[in-house]
Amino acid sequence: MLSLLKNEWIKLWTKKQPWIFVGLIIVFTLLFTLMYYSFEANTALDSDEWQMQLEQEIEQEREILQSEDASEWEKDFAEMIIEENTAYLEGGINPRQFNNLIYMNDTLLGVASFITLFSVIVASSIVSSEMNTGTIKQLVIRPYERWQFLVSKFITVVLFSIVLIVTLFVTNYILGLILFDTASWNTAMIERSFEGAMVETTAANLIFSKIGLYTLNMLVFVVISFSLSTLFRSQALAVGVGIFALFATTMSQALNFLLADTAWYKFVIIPHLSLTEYVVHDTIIEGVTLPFSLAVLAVYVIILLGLATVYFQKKDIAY
Amino acid sequence: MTEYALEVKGLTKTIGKNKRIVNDASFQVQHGEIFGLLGPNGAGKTSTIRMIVGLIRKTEGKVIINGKDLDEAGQLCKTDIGAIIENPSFYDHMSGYKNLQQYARMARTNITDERLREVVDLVKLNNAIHDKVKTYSLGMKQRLGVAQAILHKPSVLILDEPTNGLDPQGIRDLRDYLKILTEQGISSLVSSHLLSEMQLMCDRVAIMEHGKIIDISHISELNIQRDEVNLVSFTVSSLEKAKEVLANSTSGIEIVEAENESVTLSMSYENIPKINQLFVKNDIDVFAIESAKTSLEDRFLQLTAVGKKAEE
Ligand SMILES: Nc1ncnc2c1ncn2[C@@H]1O[C@H](COP(=O)(O)OP(=O)(O)OP(=O)(O)O)[C@@H](O)[C@H]1O
Ligand SMILES: [Mg+2]
Repeated sequence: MLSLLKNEWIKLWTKKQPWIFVGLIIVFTLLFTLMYYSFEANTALDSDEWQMQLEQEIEQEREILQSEDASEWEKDFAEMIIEENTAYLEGGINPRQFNNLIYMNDTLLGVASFITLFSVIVASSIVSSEMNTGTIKQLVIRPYERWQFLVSKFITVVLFSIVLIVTLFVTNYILGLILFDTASWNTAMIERSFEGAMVETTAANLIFSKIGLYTLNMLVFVVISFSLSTLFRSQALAVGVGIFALFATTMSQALNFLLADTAWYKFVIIPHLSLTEYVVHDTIIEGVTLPFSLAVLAVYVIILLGLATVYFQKKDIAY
Repeated sequence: MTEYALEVKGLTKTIGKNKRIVNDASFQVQHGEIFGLLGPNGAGKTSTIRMIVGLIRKTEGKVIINGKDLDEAGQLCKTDIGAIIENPSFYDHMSGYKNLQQYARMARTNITDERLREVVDLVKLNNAIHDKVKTYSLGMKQRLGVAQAILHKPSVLILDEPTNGLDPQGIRDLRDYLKILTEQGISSLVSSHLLSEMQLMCDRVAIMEHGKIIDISHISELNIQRDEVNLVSFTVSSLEKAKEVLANSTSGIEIVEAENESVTLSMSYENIPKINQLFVKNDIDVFAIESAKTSLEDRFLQLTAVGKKAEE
């Protein structure tokens, strides 16, 4: 079994594609960082000034709250800013300060979608390409069970996506060290969501829960495309479905809002494909918590991988 | 030692509702024997072989390799087998050597670098073995196919159309190393639709058509027999004269074909000198006498529908 894994690993890296993917992740991280650096770093404030500035902002917003011609929307926004700034002041956190971990937290997932995309592409081709070129027949006549080939291919894809994640993390971390001051992993940080929900926690906690949840999420995409390409022998289909699912997650906010009341929606896979939401939320729809999402995903993953394995174990290989 | 290296019993493959692409095929390959599977395109040779190596499931029947049932001891059976199925495919972006290393790693025994080089030597790929497979010709791929099949010293070699794409020298080489392997006790099942090849390569031949095995014979039985009727063609100076002489003679020999300065006769072997004499006596120069050694082909055509159609 280990030799099968070794074979797959060698086959993967003797192609150009995975090297290009790793290279692109590095390049995209660089570009993204440059953008971030040129826009965000200008707004940095000195350590003495920031508390004053936050307090000034709170004052301004209070005025808006009291004024009569401010709209409902403006008042909501003002309340949010006040709440936020108060939290920063109480926590002693300078939100306009820059250090390598703040940079990391802001940018780490910026190019992460590409990791999912590249992993989906590799996952979709690792089985189907051998079926299309016919090399599969020289594999399955060897003294192994067919599922062992499938398992070693699956592990290879997972390892590949982990390589991408590590590449991203390391590049990002190094750039942070070069461009910004170094902060402790225990630095307190506040993470906000679009709707204004807030959590206060440490840098380590925040960054690692983001990347952990993201990795879990990506693995689900890998499973979807790996299984579909095995079942339908079509790389194009599998990549297509993978990318569709990726887009579906960007719309999931809207779907969550529209369909939250239906009984079945929480059992559909889509709302659970944005696990990083759980960094700031305890629930993504009412009653849907992280363990629930993980359980739903596990069921889908087991069904998909099970189907692919049973099918591959039995199918006639006649090409 | 078990009785047979490979035994196939009542092998059947049904596709869809009622399409039997292999129909109740049975044969045995003895130890150290080269057994041929001969049949026209679409006869079911590849399908039979695919079932033996477990690429497709059998609808019915048994495959027994060195006494072990494929259904019960699949992995043990596969350890004993080396195979080429149709055109072998490789990882194009890797060198031939790296490809072989892949197969070496999958073997149940340890395959040393010496063994790899030995096999590369045997199939004469030394010069190209470190080039990428995408630069290989069809024949070179076929040789690499043979290499991956024999790498782990299997006791049963299964080769589907192994001569496909090989030049005459390549075919000869293949025949030679098959002979060497046979001497080491390896048994082979070789499929082909080329009769002449089978004749030179195999000890016994099964003829397959429409999924059925319709005949199994020893090559020696099939080779020319003295009293059997054969096709013999004479290249002569005058076709007209030759026809006339034959028509007037009492030999009762039938002219099958007469064109391009040669007459083809259906006659027994023993009569060749007599006819030659007859021509010479009548001032007809004889430039060549060729006996079409196509007895296997005849047999094949006789037995298969292709032949029947041709006769009509
Ligand atoms: N997957 C399949 N679905 C439907 N029919 C099939 C399938 N595989 C093979 N056949 C049919 O089975 C028959 C036998 O095919 P097979 O490839 O075994 O023939 P063959 O003897 O190897 O021929 P050739 O000399 O051309 O290689 C053919 O008529 C083919 O059309
Ligand atoms: Mg064939």
